[in-house]
Amino acid sequence: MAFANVGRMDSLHLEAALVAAGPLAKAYERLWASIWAQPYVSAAVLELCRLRVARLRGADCELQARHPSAQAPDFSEDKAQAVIAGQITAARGFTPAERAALEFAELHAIDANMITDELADEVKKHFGEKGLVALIEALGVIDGRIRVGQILTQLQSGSAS
Amino acid sequence: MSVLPRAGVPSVTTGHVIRDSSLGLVTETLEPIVSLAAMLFQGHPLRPALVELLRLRNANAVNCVVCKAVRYDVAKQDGLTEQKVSSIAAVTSLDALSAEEALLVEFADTYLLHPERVDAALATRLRALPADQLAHMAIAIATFNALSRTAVSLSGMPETFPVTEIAVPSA
Repeated sequence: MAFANVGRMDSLHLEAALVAAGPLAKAYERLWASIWAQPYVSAAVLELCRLRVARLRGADCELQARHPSAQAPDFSEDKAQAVIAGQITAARGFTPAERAALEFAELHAIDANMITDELADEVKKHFGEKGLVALIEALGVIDGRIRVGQILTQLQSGSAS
Repeated sequence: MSVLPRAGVPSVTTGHVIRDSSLGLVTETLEPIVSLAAMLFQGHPLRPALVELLRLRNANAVNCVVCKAVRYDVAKQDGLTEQKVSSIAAVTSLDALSAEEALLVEFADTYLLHPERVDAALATRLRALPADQLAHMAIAIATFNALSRTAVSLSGMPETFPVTEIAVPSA
């Protein structure tokens, strides 16, 4: 058995499952922490994006958890539920900035080659050039941890098909 | 797909391929990315040639032109050949690969194509790996995938790029 039963494994809880990698695992956690701490895209927006990507990946266990940094006053559980339900509309209270980030997250998750200049410009309009870069970096890391969590969960549970 | 870059680069250049890219604009995440990228090729528990197989399999799947063309010198020194690179670029056949290499490629393909569905036979082989090796594989494919999709998302890549051997960017 490659690893002991470490309990829950999703994008928010991978540290125990990867700890055998030693300093490499610490470096991976450091990157994870940095994407949530950068000042250009709020943790609240990133958390909505994480839920959107998880929904697209069919990673249902991700949808129950919330990143601690997203418990700030600007985080809305109503919006989180709307993202999970696929109702990302102005009527549900999403701002143009949130909708741009979520649309970008969706295309990034499906195929980064599908991202258009117009959508990238819309993200830059709301978050700035550094915000576009920070969002792209964050989406890559978030999606990676969701995928790793899916794989390791199956290895741990014996539910591989 | 645009050919123009969607973000600029730092005004001061350092000669470091990551620090001088658009990623250098976000200083808060830059050093974590640089140090992680450097550590992936340190040689333990996965040899550099095997790490490079994971990276190139991902580069082909993402269709990142520059990622596909780069070869890290430590991987070449560790025995990576262009014949081996051609073998992993082929989608269908793993016949030219060793059992260890084929396992890495199957793991990469599962991550890239259907992480929600790990084949039972593959799962058995993965569970038998030492824990540090499996963790290294997981962090490596996740990092390579994130970085190559970052490059594609930022656009501005050429349509073609010659095969180029470079050193692993230092931390």
